Amino acid sequence: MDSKLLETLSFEEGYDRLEQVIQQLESGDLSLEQSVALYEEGVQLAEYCGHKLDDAELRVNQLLNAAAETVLRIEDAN
Amino acid sequence: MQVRTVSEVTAHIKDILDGDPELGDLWIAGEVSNFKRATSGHCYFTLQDAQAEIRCVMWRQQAMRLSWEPEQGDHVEAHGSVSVYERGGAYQFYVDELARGGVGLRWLQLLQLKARLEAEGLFAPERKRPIPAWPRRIGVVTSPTGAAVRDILRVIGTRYPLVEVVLSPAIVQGSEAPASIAAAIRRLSAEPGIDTVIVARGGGSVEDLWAFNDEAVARAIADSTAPVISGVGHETDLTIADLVADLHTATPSTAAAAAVPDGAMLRANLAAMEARLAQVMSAQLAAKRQNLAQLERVLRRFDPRRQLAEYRQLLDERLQRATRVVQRGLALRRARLDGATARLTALDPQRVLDRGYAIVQDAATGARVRSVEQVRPQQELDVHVSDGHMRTIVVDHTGP
Repeated sequence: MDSKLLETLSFEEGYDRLEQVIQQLESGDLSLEQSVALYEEGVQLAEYCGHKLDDAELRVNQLLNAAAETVLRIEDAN
Repeated sequence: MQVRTVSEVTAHIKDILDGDPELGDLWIAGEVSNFKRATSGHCYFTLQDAQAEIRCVMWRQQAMRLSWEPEQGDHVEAHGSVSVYERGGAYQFYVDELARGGVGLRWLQLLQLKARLEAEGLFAPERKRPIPAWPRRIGVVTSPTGAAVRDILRVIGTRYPLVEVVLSPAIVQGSEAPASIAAAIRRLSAEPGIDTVIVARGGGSVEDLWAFNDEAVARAIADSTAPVISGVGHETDLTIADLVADLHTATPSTAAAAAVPDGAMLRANLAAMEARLAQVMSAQLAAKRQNLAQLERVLRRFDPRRQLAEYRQLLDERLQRATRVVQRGLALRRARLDGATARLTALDPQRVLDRGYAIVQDAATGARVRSVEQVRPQQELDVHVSDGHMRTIVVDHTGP
């Protein structure tokens, strides 16, 4: 798979695709070129997913509308 | 009639009381008297009304959760079970929950609300939505300052940091809590792309968690566009929020864990899949290689060089045979030649001369003289002997 294309995948898309790749490989009936291409794609996907998981940082946002600010003020007062 | 021991009778009475389902789980309302907290931490008191009284025990573990100390004459509602204290020869009420008077009424109202919502089908299993396996945005309704939010962020951050957490702050305790929690849930419903909502609060007494028994909260959960996981730390009964939620868990941490995939498991799966990839690939390569070898063996049978070699061998064989034939012919001819040569040698005139014979030629013509009729007197003849010749003249000859 094109590495640029790979970058556009979400973790779960990569993970699902990896499972597909393995199933395809295991089903056999492939030419050597197809097998090798699938294998290379699978290895890339596994690495990609691993990095994605390792490098991710949790993003936290807080809904801050008027109501929420009131809540915060009350909490602080408490 | 059989005489029994005290122990036997007491045990029998205890069995009867312990076996009674009503006495095993009940609320009793009454006035507290003689409340004592022993140094062990266990609490002893009596509950009474105008006509009767019952001795009560609250073990240290439950008593520790009491946020208030009952005083003489307080109206309370106690939850627990009736059993027998054999050594004291007394039946007792073993209290695990003690609430101020009037709270019992709230329990009654709670039961009614529960029954109503249940009749409406809000708790029905078929209403439960599955929790998305791969969430991207997770809404969290809880106090932004409590331990719950820290626990949730820690668990999600550790397990699956690929998500965005959208915190929808709420007051989770006190009279404003129900409306605040409900509003926080509804704000998340208005927010696009929220996959799962966690409604959570750290552990607390029944009182502390009362907001989660509120109808407004229940409705907000039921109306939520995303599936809701409850994580209200409680030790006994489920709150109404738990019953309405699509999935209920016991704590904020377990709610967070239920909301996201397990990163450690995912990593292990990835490693396993990588190993499988390599295994499948090498197995296929081996199979292809074997296939190739097989083909090569077949092909080799048709190798022209091999055929050529066979022809060459055939040719060699024929050549050898031909050579043998020719050689035999040659030998035969040589033998004949040898015979002829021998015969020829025998005819060599020189050898005749050696034996003492002579050859006579007419000196003039060189003709061989074989007969006297060929010569006349005075004719010159050459006589050849073994070592030379001499010229002679015929003197005379006699006839035959």
